[in-house]
Amino acid sequence: MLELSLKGSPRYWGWLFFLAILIGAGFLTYLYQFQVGLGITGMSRDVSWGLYIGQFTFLVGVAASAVTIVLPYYLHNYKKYGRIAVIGEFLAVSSILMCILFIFVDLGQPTRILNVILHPTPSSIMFYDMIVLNVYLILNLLCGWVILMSEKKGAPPPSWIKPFLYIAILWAPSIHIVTAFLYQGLPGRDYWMTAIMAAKFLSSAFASGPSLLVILSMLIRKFTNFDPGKEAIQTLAKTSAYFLVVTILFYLFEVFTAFYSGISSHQYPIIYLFKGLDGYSKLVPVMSICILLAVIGALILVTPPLRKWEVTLTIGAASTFLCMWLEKGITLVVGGFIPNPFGSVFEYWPTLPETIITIGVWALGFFVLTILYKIASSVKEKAIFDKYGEKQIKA
Amino acid sequence: MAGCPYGARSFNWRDPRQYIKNENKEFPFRMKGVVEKCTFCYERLARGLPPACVEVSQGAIVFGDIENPESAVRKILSTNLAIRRKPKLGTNPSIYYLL
Repeated sequence: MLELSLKGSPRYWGWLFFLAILIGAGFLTYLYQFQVGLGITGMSRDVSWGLYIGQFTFLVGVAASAVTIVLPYYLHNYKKYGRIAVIGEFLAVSSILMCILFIFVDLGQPTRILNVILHPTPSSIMFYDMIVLNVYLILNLLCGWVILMSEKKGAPPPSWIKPFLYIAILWAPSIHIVTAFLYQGLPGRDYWMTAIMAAKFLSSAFASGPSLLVILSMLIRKFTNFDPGKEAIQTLAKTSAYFLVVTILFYLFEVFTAFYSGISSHQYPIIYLFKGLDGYSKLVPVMSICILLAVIGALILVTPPLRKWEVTLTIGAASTFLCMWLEKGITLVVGGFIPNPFGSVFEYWPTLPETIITIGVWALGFFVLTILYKIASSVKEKAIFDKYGEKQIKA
Repeated sequence: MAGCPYGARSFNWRDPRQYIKNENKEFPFRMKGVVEKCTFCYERLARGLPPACVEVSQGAIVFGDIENPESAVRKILSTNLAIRRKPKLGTNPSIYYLL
């Protein structure tokens, strides 16, 4: 099936070329980081996780959100998702790939990466995260590929794939729960040390993933003849809407606990993010944009006419995705480190090389995603009808 | 790094040697990209010397075996009020600050 990715329009090749340039820039900058050390980033003794770990955390959520498609489809036989199950699975594949790369670029001694397997530390959550992420990558690649292959042949999927589909559904939440445990199990970091962290991780994942899938589905419909289906897009938007509302609620629960209890160590990170602390307020604009996007996203996606009109739907989905990205990809991680254990504030802001490396990893993820989606849309364009006899190409 | 509630660990963001004017070849150094923390100068302890900070503190820091009832630390703790940082986190910190 890989050969399908080799035939494409000049626009397809142009896009891949553009991504390749970004990947190249990221790679060269990474060589500089490899030479000098992580000192080229904005991270410091006090804020020892930054953009890299933030992207990793956020993208684990995007990967886990594939379950919002495959669960209704395989467990509840929601037929409208039949066409896009593979779209969700392939998004998970490329997201996990980015996650692994973001961990890799954050390593102080990258040549020791295999030590996580050669000298396993079962008391470390990172060890389990490595296992669940890699298994999830394989599961999604396997399920997506095998089912697409059978669609290409016009045959029903082999029955041996079924257990893997169910395991993948169970596995999806586990990757994000384990990632939340990386945060919520740390003593002395009051912004993270809360049992609702894993629940909030899942809810924000199921808001960000489907909102991205809404946009990706509309792009696929625009640039290929494959039509993911209006109804599928609408259901994705509803999923995103309700999980966005739940995420906002979970956040407000945190704010209540911190401020009604009056425990100052719980309040400081929140004050830092929303108002600034001791005159330091680098992340206040980021958090303000985040709130604005959350309001726009929630209003549009929850209101039926606004959700149905595709112009506003695009704005709502993009707002939701960006909001979750700012919250989880930047402010959650940095906010947890402020103030430091001595009570003083040392701020973080990503440097240029760090940003170029980050863009490079994203570009690599989208490079892989483009190729996988190219294969999927080519198969579906030729199959003409989906499994349920409905036309899946544009009229 | 992130898990330490005391801010006691640091990371070699770059090769640390470029910041050291007079390198002491007697003791090992660590490379870039790894985590550092105080080891109470175990290389010095092995030679029967006190940790470097104790030596230069001129008596302000007392170091020793708290299990030993005859030790200097044990004696000073029995006569002074002392606190530890964040004892309720259960990390059992073994640095005492005299009041």
